[in-house]
Amino acid sequence: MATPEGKIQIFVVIPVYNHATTLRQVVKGVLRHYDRVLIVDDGSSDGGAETLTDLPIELLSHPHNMGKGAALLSAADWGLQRGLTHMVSLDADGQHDVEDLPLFFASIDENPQALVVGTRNFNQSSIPGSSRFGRKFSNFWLRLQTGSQLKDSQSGFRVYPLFIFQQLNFWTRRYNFEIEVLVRSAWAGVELRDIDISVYYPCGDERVSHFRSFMDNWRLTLLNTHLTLRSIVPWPHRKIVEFNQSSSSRVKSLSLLHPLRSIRQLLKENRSPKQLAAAAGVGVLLGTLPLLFCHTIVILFVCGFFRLNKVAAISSSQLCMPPLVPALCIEVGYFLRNGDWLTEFSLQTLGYQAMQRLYEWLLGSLLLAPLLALIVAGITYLLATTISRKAESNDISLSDAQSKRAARQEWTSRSIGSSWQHQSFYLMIRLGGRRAAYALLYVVVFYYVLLPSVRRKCNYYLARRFPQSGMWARFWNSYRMTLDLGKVLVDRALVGILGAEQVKVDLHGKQELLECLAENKGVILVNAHVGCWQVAMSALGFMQTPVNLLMQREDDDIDRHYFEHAGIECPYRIIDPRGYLGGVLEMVEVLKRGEVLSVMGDRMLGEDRNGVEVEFMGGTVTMPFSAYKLASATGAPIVVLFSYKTGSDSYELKLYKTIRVPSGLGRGNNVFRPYVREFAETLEVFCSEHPFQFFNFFDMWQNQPADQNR
Amino acid sequence: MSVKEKLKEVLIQDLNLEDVEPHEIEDDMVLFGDGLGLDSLDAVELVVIVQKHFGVEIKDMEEGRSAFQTISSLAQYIEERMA
Repeated sequence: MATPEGKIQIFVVIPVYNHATTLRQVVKGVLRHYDRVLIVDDGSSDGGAETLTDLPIELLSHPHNMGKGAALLSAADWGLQRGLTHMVSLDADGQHDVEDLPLFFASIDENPQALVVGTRNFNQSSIPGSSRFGRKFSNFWLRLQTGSQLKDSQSGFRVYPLFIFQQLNFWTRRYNFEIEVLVRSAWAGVELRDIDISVYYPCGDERVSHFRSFMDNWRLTLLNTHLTLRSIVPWPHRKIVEFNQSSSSRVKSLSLLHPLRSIRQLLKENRSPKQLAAAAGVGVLLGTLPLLFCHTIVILFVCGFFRLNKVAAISSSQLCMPPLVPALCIEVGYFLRNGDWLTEFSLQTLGYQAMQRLYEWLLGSLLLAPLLALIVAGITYLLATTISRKAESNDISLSDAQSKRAARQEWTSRSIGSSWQHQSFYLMIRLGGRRAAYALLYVVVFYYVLLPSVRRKCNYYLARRFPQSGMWARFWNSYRMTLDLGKVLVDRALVGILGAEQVKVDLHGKQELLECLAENKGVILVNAHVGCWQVAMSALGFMQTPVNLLMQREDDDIDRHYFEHAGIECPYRIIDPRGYLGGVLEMVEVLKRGEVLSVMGDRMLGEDRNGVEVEFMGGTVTMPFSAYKLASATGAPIVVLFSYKTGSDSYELKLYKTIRVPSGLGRGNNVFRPYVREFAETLEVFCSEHPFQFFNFFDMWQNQPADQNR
Repeated sequence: MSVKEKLKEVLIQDLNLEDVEPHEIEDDMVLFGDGLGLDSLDAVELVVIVQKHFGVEIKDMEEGRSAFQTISSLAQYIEERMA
């Protein structure tokens, strides 16, 4: 029943089943905001409806409990009969805040065709963990089935445009209805939107929830199974149009009698060049992986989740048909494991050793799948843009916020890549050892260095170290530097995952170090962000003295130390610089016991304001001087120890210099400057010997221009 | 001379607290942050001072923390441990 001129007519519905205690309050609250309110009494036995007899509401009653879905459908029928257009539903248990009603009304004005779901603010700690998980679970299935992302698919505070009830048929009538209505509406082309609302979640038994019954969960499971199966069938859904059009102009459906039209229809969904390229890439990616007969199903699922064109993905996965691509993967996998190509094809190698070949197929595919996917996606994209003549801008740059943070000295190796990228390296290490991880590294780093923001970060230092370099040289230097950092991170994980034998460390200056220790005043090791101090530290075990690190560990650090990989306890004692007085009491104690204290000397740590400006590589940088103060006060010598990578599996740890700071220097930072300068000088020497192992990817000099033209 | 008075004197002397006289330092003045305005590096010096002038070592972190609240608390800590 269409309304003339599409005028919006709203009503509010509150389905209720045995919520007598809260019902009246909720209804009164709603009446303050709106006058057309419908209550649907779903067979309540506690007489809730009788508390409302004096209020100006409409009441529908079910003879017995038929389910929330049935209540909403009854309400929708009621509304359609009266020519209304939108229904706002909320729960009778007081969980929803009636003050949020105006937000829903406003969203109806903005998007009269959308189904709007209120996202409950779950940041309050009174929400039980099971609710949070349930919500995430539900959102995942919704996205898998429809490609739509809602932040809170379980929320009952919603706006339903009534035309969906006119044109769609729903199978469920109970709590599962709230999910079914979302999925079928999304399939039909209705937009699903979120708005933020607040929630009141009474603790424990104060909240009367009818949800936890076995039957409800069973019904939901049945529904999800059906919806998921339907969603992966690549047959498009009937799209509905809203009010003002007659039923005869519905979209033509697919049929076997019209194959060409059907194919064109199938190709029409999700067909922007970017989406087509993504679909083709995904098809090749999943087609290359040894998914053993499950390719098609997995591809369909992934396309549903990310809203990609299913036809394109399935077609491109046909490119990976055997024998070519699997054979290629096996060759690559074989090479990674044995350093040689497989040339003998016999019953022996393909029959009896089939498990080996299968493993190599997996290994090779992990390397080739992304590569081939990228190539195919790239070609598809070019073709699609040429054909459709629609240009879309590619934006692959890292966010602005990240580069600004880097310039402000907050960059650390923690922020390279995201968690899943780190995880994929760990996986390569487990499967194929160093060779596999390095192989992936060469490719990944090349991709990274293509981004101008990454090169900018390298160039702060490279411009000073190689002032005469031209554009190509600088590109190459950036690549080498980033690659070396990557190798260091991989080595760290290698040591942790596969054991300390993976790396040999050679120590230069052992004697001097032992002599310093023998003075029994403790030793302060000052390091810098060069080489791999973690791996090098593992070589200090010979000292038989506990090592204490001044280190700030964040909760969301994604890179891991080698001991975390190995699942062993941290072999060092950590002193937190955020502790009382920056941890100095502990540091003094450590030195008095004659132990080793290790600090970083080239970057200010967090809130530390004890820095002094020193000359470094032609400009001035700020370096911390607390260590020098400690040395002065306790008489401990400062040992400058740097590590550097010398080969694919070897490191050297070298004692570059011992700095002794006299006592009685007094307060103030300037008195320590000459000693910090000694450290900076030593670092300059290191950089001249090992230019690409210096890993401060930010502007240490804070935008002082280097003295050459860039 | 009481421990408190000696403490105030060596503080001014070893920490180079210019423009401050011993009698200007109040007994319940907070040492770090507001009050006397010492920072973490001064804490290092303080440990050395207490050792040098009074022969008292600050072994425990928790003890040190409570001792370093005010002049009074530090003086009390020292008096308790002086031999």
